[in-house]
Amino acid sequence: MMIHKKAIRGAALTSALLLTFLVGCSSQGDGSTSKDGSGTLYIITQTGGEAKWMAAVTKIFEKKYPNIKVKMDTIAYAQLVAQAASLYTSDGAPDIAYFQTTMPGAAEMYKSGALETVDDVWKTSGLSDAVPAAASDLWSYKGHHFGIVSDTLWTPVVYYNKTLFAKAGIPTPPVQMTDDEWNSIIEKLKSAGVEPLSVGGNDFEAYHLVSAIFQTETTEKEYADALVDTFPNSGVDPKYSSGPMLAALQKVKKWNDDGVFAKGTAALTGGQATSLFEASGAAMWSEGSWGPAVMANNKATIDYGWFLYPSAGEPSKLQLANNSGVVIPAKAKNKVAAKLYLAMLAGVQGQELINGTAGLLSPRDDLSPDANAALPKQTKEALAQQSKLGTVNFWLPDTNVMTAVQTGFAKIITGESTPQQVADEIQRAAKLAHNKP
Amino acid sequence: MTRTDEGVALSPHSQAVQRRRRRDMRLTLALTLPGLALVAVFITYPVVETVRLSFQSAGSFGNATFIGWSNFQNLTSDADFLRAIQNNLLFTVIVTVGTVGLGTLFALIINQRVRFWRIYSFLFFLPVIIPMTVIAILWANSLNPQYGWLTAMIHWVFPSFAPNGLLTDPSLAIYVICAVAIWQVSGFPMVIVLGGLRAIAPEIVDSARLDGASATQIAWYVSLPMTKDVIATVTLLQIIFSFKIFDLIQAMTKGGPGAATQVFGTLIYRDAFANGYFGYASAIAVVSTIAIVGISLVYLALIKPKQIERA
Repeated sequence: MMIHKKAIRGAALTSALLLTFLVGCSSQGDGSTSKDGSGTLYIITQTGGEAKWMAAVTKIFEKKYPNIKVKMDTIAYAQLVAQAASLYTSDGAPDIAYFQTTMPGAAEMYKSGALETVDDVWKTSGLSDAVPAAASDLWSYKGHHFGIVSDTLWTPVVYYNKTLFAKAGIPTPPVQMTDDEWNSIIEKLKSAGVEPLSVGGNDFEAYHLVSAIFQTETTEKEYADALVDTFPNSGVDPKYSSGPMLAALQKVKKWNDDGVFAKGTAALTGGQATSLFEASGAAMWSEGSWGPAVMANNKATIDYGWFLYPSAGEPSKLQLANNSGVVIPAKAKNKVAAKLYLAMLAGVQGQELINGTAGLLSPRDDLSPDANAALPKQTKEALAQQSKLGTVNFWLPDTNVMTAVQTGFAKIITGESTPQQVADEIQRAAKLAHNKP
Repeated sequence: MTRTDEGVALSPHSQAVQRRRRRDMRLTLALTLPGLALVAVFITYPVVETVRLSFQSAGSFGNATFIGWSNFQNLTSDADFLRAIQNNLLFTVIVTVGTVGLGTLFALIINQRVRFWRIYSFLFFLPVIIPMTVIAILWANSLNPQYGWLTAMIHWVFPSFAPNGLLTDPSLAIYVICAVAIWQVSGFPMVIVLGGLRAIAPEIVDSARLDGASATQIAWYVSLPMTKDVIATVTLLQIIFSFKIFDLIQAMTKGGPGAATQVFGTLIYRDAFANGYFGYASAIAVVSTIAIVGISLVYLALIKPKQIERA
């Protein structure tokens, strides 16, 4: 009898301890709810340029608001994007979070009210009057801003190693080139025994490359349709099995057959492709406007220039993306401090820091001329030529379509699939996205 | 027992036995209830929720819409899913046969107590305790087409073999991953089978030796038959572990190049967390669960359940 009672008491105690442990595992949020924002401000952002920039903004913020302590966590981009929706809507949500309008769950978040509206911040920071209307629209839902656009990107361009180009006897390439000029560069590089192009074939850079070629294959109407056709209720049916997308994929195959891509491209991550270029293992590198900031961060010593991808028809343009920014989750604990911080981040002072610190580009057009002084040389050159080159919005379809394009690139260059098969898979993914209820 | 007007009355001894049985039942319930609660919360509920989601169009967040069998119908035309089925089966068969075969061989060698058997035992088991992600990065770097030492060695011996690297060749990549998995996991069946071998009565082995049997004959005619229950059990475990593979492939190739090494695990991760298609990913999870349950049931039916129980 005594033994049984002891055993039952033991079981009850174990259960109680287990329950306590499980309840205790739930995260405790940071931050305060005081009227002036006093307390802790919890920020989550991605590693790299954004983290550096926000650290710089944090320094001046904490000086201005000594009653607010900033705590910042950085997460690698791929991991952050994968967990953002669940993280930002949980009880442990940060007060400020890195956000992309194209990340999984982004649309659901702003449509369901999981993000705080920040119209007041757009007004107080002067952002409404300083960015293009397209950028403001991208960050609005039903007339209200759900976040702040923090930087502008263009993607991708081709960075080239000047030393290797000289070794191959290639003169300074034009920024906008034809297919024939491109083919001539490739031939000379291969004759000199130099690997031509380094690109992250197993990463999102592959999708960027295809989108760059895709843009050059479209008419203005086709491209305008492509910008919306993978989204539900857009009224435009996707057409990727034929036409410009198929032409772009056929060009990828031709380039592969011509030996444009470095050995093992299909398995390269973006980081490996960067390292290959920095180590002069390839003469060219496909990356976006953040490329020079990455190279500077890695203390790369090569001398490099840039140009746009070639085009058979109309010259290539700079493709601008304004889909990166920051938001305040509705479950943030210190919204007062968060809005103060965002106003500084989006204001002139914070935006001048983005150029100076991280090499990213501000979307504001009212910064002082000196604001660009700290930009990498290559970025300054592109900025100076922006209006001459022309700009278009970057093609940002549903993530399902981006994945189909990325894996399709690898399938073409390894010979696993034909361009038509990949085009059909992209069409299938586009239709799935378009028909989402 | 005595018969009374009220019915059969139990003797005091029988009553005591019945009371003890009821107490034992209550004790059993009390002790197993916490575990059952954990199973309900962490296994039953997620499984039921996954099945429910598989019939929905659900994103990373927000409302889900019931769409019936659409997700499952879309799977039949998804080239990456069909490739994942092929890769999963291939990986399971190759890795199970490889690990159990190699593990059994190692166990037989070590059981002979050859010279330095303890060192061999440690070396064979060492890869098992190294984290899978470390293993994946180690091998991915070694096989890097630009700077991998193993790639350089292979090309030195076979210059025209896989010129773009083994992990970049869609026809070879899955086999490379199988080889890495076999290398990493063989130590596990080894220790299990070794335990079975050590349980064989030494007199049986001694009498076989006295009859003139060689070490190989003893292994083939005595040791293996006497440990077949253990081998059957470890084979089933390996089938299940292999079918669930995710971390090694995600870390080495992320399912690439293209979809050449895509398996259910990596596909579920991609569609759920990279693309935000939770309903679709749940449908893949349901199909893969049904598949592994089916395979396990077929295996159990073939090798007879009694052998598992005995082991």
